[in-house]
Amino acid sequence: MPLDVRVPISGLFGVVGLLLLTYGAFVEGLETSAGQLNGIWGALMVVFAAVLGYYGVRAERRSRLTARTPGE
Amino acid sequence: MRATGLALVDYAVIAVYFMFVLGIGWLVRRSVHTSKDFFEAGRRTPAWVAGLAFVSANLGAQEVIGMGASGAKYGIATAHFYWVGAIPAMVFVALFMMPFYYGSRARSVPEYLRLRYDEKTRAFNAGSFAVMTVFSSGVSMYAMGKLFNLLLGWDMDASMLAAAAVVLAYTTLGGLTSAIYNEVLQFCLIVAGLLPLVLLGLHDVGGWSGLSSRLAHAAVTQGYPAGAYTQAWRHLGSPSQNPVGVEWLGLVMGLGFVLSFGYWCTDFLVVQRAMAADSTTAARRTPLIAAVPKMIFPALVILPGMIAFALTASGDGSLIPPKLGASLQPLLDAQGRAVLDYDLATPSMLLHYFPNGMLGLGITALLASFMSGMAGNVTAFNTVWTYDIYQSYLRPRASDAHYLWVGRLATVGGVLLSIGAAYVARSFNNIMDVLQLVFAFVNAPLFATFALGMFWRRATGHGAFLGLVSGTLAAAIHHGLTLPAGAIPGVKGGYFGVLHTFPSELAQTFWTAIAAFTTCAIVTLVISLLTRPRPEDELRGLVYSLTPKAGSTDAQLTWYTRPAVLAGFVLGATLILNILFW
Repeated sequence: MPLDVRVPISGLFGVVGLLLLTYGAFVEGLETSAGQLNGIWGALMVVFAAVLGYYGVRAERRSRLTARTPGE
Repeated sequence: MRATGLALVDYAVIAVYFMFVLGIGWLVRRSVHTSKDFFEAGRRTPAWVAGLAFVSANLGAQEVIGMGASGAKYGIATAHFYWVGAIPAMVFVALFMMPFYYGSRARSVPEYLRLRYDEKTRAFNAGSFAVMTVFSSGVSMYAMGKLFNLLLGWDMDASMLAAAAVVLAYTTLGGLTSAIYNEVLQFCLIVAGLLPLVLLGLHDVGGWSGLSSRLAHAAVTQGYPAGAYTQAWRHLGSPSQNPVGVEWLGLVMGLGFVLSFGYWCTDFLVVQRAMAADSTTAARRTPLIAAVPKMIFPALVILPGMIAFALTASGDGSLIPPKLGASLQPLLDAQGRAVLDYDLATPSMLLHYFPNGMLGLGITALLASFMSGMAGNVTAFNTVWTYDIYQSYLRPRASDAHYLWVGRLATVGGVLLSIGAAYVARSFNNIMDVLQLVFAFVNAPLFATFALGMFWRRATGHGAFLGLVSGTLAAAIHHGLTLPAGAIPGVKGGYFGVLHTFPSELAQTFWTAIAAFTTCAIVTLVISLLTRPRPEDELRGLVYSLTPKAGSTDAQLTWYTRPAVLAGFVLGATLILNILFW
């Protein structure tokens, strides 16, 4: 496969998570329930993105390494 | 329901989603060089990716919205569509059918039928499947446009065309690989968008026990036993004791066997994802991996509907608005009660619980479900069109580059036809009912054809073709001679006269499917015995008894990756769920 699917998913979740976290924290305010919901869920999405992105990038690096050294 | 506006942050979330979806198509296009890359993803997909795509391609709008509606109407019994109507068939196709689909080197399900039977059987399946995918895609698009117009005030044409344009772009660029990648992305988004909704809703009603007690009250008010909405099996002894209006035999045989196996084992839309896997073992594991989220999905798609109904019934919020008639007045049932518009259960929950920001995420999850379903239909259509119709009958000996080009054109054609079908749906109120009906007529006998072909070397092409035709006719006749209670003859049945009235539409559907399957099986059997079978040499790799067993190489795998072990885990977990919600 040309691109590990975890990389774009982590990208999307990271960007959307940051959007929600920023909106919840700075626009709605964390003292409101709307702000807390956006903040918490946004933060969880960012964490998910980080974990998924780590595994995706690691898999891509391994796959490139394997492609460069096919005999080993 | 009053249309709701979105804030800038909501539109930003939707815009980010569209950018990533198009970006994936753009990046993947560099790896598409041959028709195999375009139509089969090069057969390089890891099992876990193919598995998530397998479940996501099926997870279209009709499922997310429809299961929410069914959850509101029928309660936890809706989970039968998953625990009875999907999981066993997914296990079966993984263990017993994927070796033939993958090992036969067939590029599509109709092509397998040509290899196993003959050209006319392939043509029947290819033609009916191509028409069904286009209509299914179009009806989904129409449903999406209608929903977003109602919920958000979006122009229906604009939202349909925008979604179609995005799907067209990424499927034309990257083919099946792009569709699969986006289906995995869409799966993750659907979970991210619906999970907080379920958590908030359950918190609001007091958890499962609070939900159960509200639904118990609603059930008794409607004349059912207290547990009718929260117990999946206990009240299936009689159709009058449960809101679904079926008894266990019709459910198990009609849904659990005929319809379920007819869809999960033969529908190319989902099978195509498994056929894109990178090995036979991966192809066998794909439906099993898909079965894990599939068995948990009732929590995401059915619970919102149940919660919405519980809150509406207990007077804590009109989360499900009444259905309006042509005069824009609420429709009333025979008892004078307002008929609820159950299709709006899940969208209403989103608007009720999600503030701006999260609302954008929830709307994006709905959009993602529509688009993954549409892309699934389009990629299945372009493959069947190119390989089973164009290459087989119109231009058999062209170059691979030509078929790649035709595939891209077919993608454009498929999307345009879907848009046309969406406008047809807009003009005819009951087109969705018609589509479901025709789908059931065509799908119901299919499993008999495949099962006999894969497990009985004596089955012949003449038997298969005549079996399919008579099974479809039997479905039409059974439907035409029966009617669900309270319906008038027409698209709901009874167009040849009414010999029997079923307690509900679902009961009629299940028994129509049983009639179709049985007729197809008997006709295939009889005609096969009267006609000459193909030589056994031609059937190696296509029939179970003439093919080395796929499981013979499983001993080399780590125990927890063996398909049989995964299957045992999946079936065991499903059994536990059925017991927990007995």
